[in-house]
Amino acid sequence: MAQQQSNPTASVNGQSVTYTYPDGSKVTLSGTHPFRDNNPGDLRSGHGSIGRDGGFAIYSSLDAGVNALGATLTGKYANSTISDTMKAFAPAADGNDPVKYAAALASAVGVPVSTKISALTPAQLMTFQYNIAIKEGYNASGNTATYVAPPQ
Amino acid sequence: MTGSRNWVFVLAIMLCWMLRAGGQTVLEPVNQEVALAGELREVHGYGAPGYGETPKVDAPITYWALELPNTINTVCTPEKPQWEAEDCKATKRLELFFPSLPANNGLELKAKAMKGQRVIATGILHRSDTMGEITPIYMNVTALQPVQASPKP
Repeated sequence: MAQQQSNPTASVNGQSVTYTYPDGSKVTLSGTHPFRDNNPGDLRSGHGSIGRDGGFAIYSSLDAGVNALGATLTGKYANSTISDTMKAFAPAADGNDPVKYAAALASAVGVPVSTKISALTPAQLMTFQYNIAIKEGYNASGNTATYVAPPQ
Repeated sequence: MTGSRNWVFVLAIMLCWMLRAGGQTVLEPVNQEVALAGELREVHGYGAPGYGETPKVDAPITYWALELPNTINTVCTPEKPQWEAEDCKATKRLELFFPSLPANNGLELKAKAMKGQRVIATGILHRSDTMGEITPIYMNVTALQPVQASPKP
């Protein structure tokens, strides 16, 4: 897939975000925040975000959002355990115990919950990131992406 | 420690670290323990995916919070100046995080016993980086104690 030369601009309209590229083409993402904001970690700010959507940071691409999540994990949370880190991404809910969730996640990557984020290998960290994205609702049903070609 | 000593401790910290700015109290420096008094509450809210935007599908969540008598803020640099209102929000409600075992030291059990009471929470304030950190600023708690009524003179 060809890389875009530079960042798009983002405009928010309800539960949709339209990204307009320098060539005039547009992509509209509709659905959950992590999907439409290219923000699988539901981050509030930082790491080169390009806008805000009701308190959520907007990133220029899914890659940028995944990188922002990775940078947040290996930065602010580097010295936190898996168990404590998950409290920041999966608040306690009915049927969602962050302690149990952290245990399942730690088990999935073959380490104890007391493992610090900085001790995870790149592959373990990637697994961790994508599980956070799923937990935040990146893959929710009903999310859609629509492309509009640049004007001729 | 007696109740009146508690208050002296809290006031001393307040006097050292508070600046009044625009109707809010700015606490500094960050990365040092502060002690704040307020009402300890267990708050019900909404989690992923909308964190309240889509209540019918958002996960109902429960978190510990300290309801403060005044709005507070921390020193904050927005990612871009035009996003200051969103990136540097002040708050009267602080989410409280208790460390996992073994550092927890019974803090969560203490909190359950003091729910609804005025307490002094000691810990380090952080600006929230994720929506899962529900309030704009939160505290990693290291100690929790009840506020005792000052003896009448």
